[in-house]
Amino acid sequence: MSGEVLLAEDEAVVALDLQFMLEDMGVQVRGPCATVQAGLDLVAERLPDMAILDVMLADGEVYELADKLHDAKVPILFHSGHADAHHLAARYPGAAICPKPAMPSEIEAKVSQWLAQSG
Amino acid sequence: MNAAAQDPLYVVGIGASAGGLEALRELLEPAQADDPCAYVVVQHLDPNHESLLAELLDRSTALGVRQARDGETLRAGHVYTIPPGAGLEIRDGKLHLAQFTQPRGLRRPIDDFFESLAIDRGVRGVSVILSGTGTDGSVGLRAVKEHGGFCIAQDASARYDSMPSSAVATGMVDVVCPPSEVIARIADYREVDPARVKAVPVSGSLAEICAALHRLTGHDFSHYKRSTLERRIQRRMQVVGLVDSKAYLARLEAEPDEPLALLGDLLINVTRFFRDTDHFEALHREVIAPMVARAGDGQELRVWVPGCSSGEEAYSIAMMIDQAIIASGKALDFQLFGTDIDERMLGIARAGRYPVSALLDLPEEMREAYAIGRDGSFQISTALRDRVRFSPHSLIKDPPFSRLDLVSCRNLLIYFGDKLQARVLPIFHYALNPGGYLFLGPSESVGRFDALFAPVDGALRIFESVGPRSPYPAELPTNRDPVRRISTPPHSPQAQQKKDWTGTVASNRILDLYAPATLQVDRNGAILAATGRLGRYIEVDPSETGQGHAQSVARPGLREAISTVIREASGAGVRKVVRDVEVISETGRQKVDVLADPLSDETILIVFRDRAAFEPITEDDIDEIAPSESHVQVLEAELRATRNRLRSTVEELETANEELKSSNEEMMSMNEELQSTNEELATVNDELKTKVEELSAANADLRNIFDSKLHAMVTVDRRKRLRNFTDGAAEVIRLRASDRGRPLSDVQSSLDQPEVLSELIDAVLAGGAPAAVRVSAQSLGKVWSLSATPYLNARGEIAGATLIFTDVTQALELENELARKGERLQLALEITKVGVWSLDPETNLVEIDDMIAAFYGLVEGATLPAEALFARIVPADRDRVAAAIAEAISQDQNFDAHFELSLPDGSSRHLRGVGRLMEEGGRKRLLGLNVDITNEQETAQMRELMLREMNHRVKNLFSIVSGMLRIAGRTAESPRALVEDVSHRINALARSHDLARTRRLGQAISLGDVVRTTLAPYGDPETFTIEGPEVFVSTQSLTALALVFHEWSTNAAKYGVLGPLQGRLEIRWSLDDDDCVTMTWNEIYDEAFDVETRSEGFGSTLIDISAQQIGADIETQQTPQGRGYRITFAHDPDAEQD
Repeated sequence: MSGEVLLAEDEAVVALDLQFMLEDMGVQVRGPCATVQAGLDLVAERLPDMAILDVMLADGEVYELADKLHDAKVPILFHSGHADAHHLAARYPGAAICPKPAMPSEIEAKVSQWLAQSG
Repeated sequence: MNAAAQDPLYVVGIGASAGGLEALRELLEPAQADDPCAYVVVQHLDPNHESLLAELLDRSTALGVRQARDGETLRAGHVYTIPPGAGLEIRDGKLHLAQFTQPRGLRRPIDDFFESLAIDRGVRGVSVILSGTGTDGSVGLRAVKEHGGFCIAQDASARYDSMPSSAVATGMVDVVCPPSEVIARIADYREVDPARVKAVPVSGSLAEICAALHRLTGHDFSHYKRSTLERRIQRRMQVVGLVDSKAYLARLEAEPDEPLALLGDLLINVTRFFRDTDHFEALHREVIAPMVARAGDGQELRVWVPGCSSGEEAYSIAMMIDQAIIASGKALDFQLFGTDIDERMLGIARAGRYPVSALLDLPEEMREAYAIGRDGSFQISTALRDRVRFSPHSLIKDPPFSRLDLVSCRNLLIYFGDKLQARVLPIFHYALNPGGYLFLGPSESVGRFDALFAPVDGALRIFESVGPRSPYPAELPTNRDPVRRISTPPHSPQAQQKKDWTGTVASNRILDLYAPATLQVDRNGAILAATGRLGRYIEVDPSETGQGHAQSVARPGLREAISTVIREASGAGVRKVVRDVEVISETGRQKVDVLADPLSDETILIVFRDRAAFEPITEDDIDEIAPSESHVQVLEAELRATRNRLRSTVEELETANEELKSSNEEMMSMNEELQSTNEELATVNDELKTKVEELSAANADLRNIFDSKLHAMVTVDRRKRLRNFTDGAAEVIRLRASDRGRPLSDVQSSLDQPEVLSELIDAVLAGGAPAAVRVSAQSLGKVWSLSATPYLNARGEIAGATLIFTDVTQALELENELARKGERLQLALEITKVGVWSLDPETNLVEIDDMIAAFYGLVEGATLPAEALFARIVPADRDRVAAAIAEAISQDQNFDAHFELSLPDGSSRHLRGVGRLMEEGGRKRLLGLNVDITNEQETAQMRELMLREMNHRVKNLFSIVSGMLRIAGRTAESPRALVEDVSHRINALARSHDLARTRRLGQAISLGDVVRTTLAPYGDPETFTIEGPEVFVSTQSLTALALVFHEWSTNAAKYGVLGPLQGRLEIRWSLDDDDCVTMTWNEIYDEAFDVETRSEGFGSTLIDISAQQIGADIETQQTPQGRGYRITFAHDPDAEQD
């Protein structure tokens, strides 16, 4: 089970926790990036296999990055404290949404699902 | 009589004056609503006052009563009352209001109405005279009667009997009864209306009626024209309600008053001034002018008007003669005798007073010369009345006047039968001087006496006496004393028997041809009647006017015998005779027996019976006889002279008597005027009584006002002396009853401002209208509003002033209370920034106060169209607000809306508007408030933002805690260590959260505070050196920095100066030009301590990722002297929340 996950999360502790969890799953973590710009830079290098995005990052909302990923058909999991589920679901059909605080198992299950699909 | 034929409506004219109201009520009370008559009430009214008569009467009758209006058609079952200040007339069944031509006091509205009633209604006109003073109605009554109408007068029940009595005195009144019977009497009268009832013809009983009338009144109508008699008797029967002439005959005998009433009716005579104008013009031209022209200076013209009735014709002729004499310039005198058998008519004639309507018959020049305006009528001037003597005289029975220049007998002969006419015309011939004139009515003629009278103008009935004067018609008088005859008991068989012969052809023939010559004389020998051939026995003296004594007219030889026989017979009361008396006349001598027969009626019949053949005498005989008679002759001559003197004395007395009569007439007329005035006064008095009652009531009202302690009122005169005051005023300025009349300034008032009184009074007296002033009395604890008005006297002049004190103490307290409340409310409105508006739904104008104006960005409170305010409401809210207002108005609901204003300066404002439909002075208004809720709106938004932030932060913290726990769990040596580690960190996070929670929204957190908060669990922060400029930390960086500082503190507590080692902690930071914060965290050990290098645990990982998170650089330096950290991060004071 392998893959590359773009992790955008400006809260260091949370990002670290997710990173540990994903690495434990054997997933390659890119980031974590605390800003949209950092995320865009990473995507410009190479598209990840999937992305876990906090909606509100240090330099603003994540939509520009999400749009890019969504256009590139990269599966997205939104992980946000103020995620507007309806808005996100409407804007990014197919995207998974896990409101903060999310059980790590939820995220783990979702990532596993994608990995299984891609694999 | 014109309209009456077609229109069967009976109209009852009712005249009343003083005391009339009571009588009118009685009269109308028994009336049924279906009464077939129309009633017109003519009451003397004060022209200046509204009349309540109609109202008053309406309450007491079933008939409809109303005040008459001009042009109103009379209807049965209705009563019409005269309006004040106008006269009433009836024409063609319609009422007309007429202006009075006479000044007040001279008006005779009842007469005026009756005259029009007579003409319009004829036999269906009924006149009723009720209580009243004066004589109004009496003249009009005559008109009604002349036109065949019915007349009623109130009986003695009248409170003021002058008017009804005057009416009765005219003899024209048919019925005298109490008012309550009037309607029944009218009904009786209508019952026998000849047009409706088949009457038994009168003709069958005519002779009996005439006979009865002759017997009862002394007036013989048997030779009057039958048709006229029948008609008049018929009418009289209708009046008394009889249809059967036999029954009437019985009544005539049984009722003492009936004969006179019938007589009056029979004598009704229509006469007018200058009746038949062309005839009078001819009279003037053919008779009067020549007569005056012929007469010598000093001569007296004598005129006789027999049957003069009420004197119009007599006066007409008198006026013409007077005018002619004046025109001729001669010094002529004239005397006019008016005679009639109707004493009542003569009364009118003597008074010379006639209704104004008769004035129209007088030519203009006559009117000016002889008519004097009186109370509703006019009177013939005194000068002319002096010329005309009216006396009772029967043409048939009484000896005629003589030596006349003109006899005017118009429209009298038409009532006479042929026989009467044949008797009368010779009388006229006798009465006239040779060449004298006879003036007859248009339908009369001299008949077969054309030998006596030659026509001057036959067509115009003017004749001239021709031939020698007729002999004295001595056979005519048969009865001289009608009055006495009336008073004698009518039932005497003897009298009845005698009447059967009287006037018949047979008895006349017997008397004329076969009976001996007879004289009827009174006890003095005055000749009352004569019959037979008397020429041989008496001398007829042409100068005698019928009044002769038997002794004086007897021929020589007979005089002594007559004197003796009269004396003897009257003294003894038995028949006496003187035999073989030789009577000597101019032509011869005759022997006669003179028989005297005293009759039961105090008269004596003297019968001459010839004893031998007549012996003609020669001149010698005369010589013979003369000496033998000389003594007697001398005595007789003396006696004659004495008699002549006596006669002239008697004539003088009669003249004086006539003058007295004239004076009396004058007095009577003046009396009438006075009565009329009195009547007016009585009416005014009645009205005054009412006014006095009203005044009493008003006075009582005033007294109550003055006695009331509630009203404080003072009146003063022009000199400021107390005129009057109320009890209430007495308290205010300490007045006693004895103060009236004292100057106001002398009175010690309890007012705190006594000078105000005087000032106000001055202002009022000067004609001003000063405003009310507030005065107080500290001692009484009261406050008054004092106003002053002019005190006007009856002439409307300012005679002083009225001061009115109105106690406003309570009102003032109330006012103050209201003012206080108002102020509070105003304050509340201002403090709470509440504006008040009021919308008029009809005009769509809205009144706003200053606060509203401020809300809407307007200058100040005003009244302006609602659209001006709506324009300021943002378009999104505008329609909603307008709809809510419309609904509040139409549904009467409360209005409540929030809306936003867009102001001209670009700002916006949130308002809440509430309102309710209220009634203000009868008009509906939507009254409402506006409250500025902009602040609340912003606060609410703020709170919303705060909540969202907090929510996010909490969730974030939970995520961090969760992540921290899981990361720590990876490296934890034991669960206890894990728990301790993590719980410390959570605490640190909680403290940093406290900072974020307590700060205001969007405000950055001081770096110093973060440090101190972090160090708080380790001792008093003041023991540490914490220095640096004011630097702010964004909430974004807060958690990270807090975690970093926490790790450093924990480390110091475990291993450094906050824990086992002695030393100090120095924390300093600075802000460089690149807006970069550099902080140094130095633990400085007191003693050098060689710290063993520790493995990098979870704490350092946390520091690293936290630093990474905020882009900070961290350096760590461990020396034996101490441990130092250096952190550099961007300063971002404006940082917003994440």
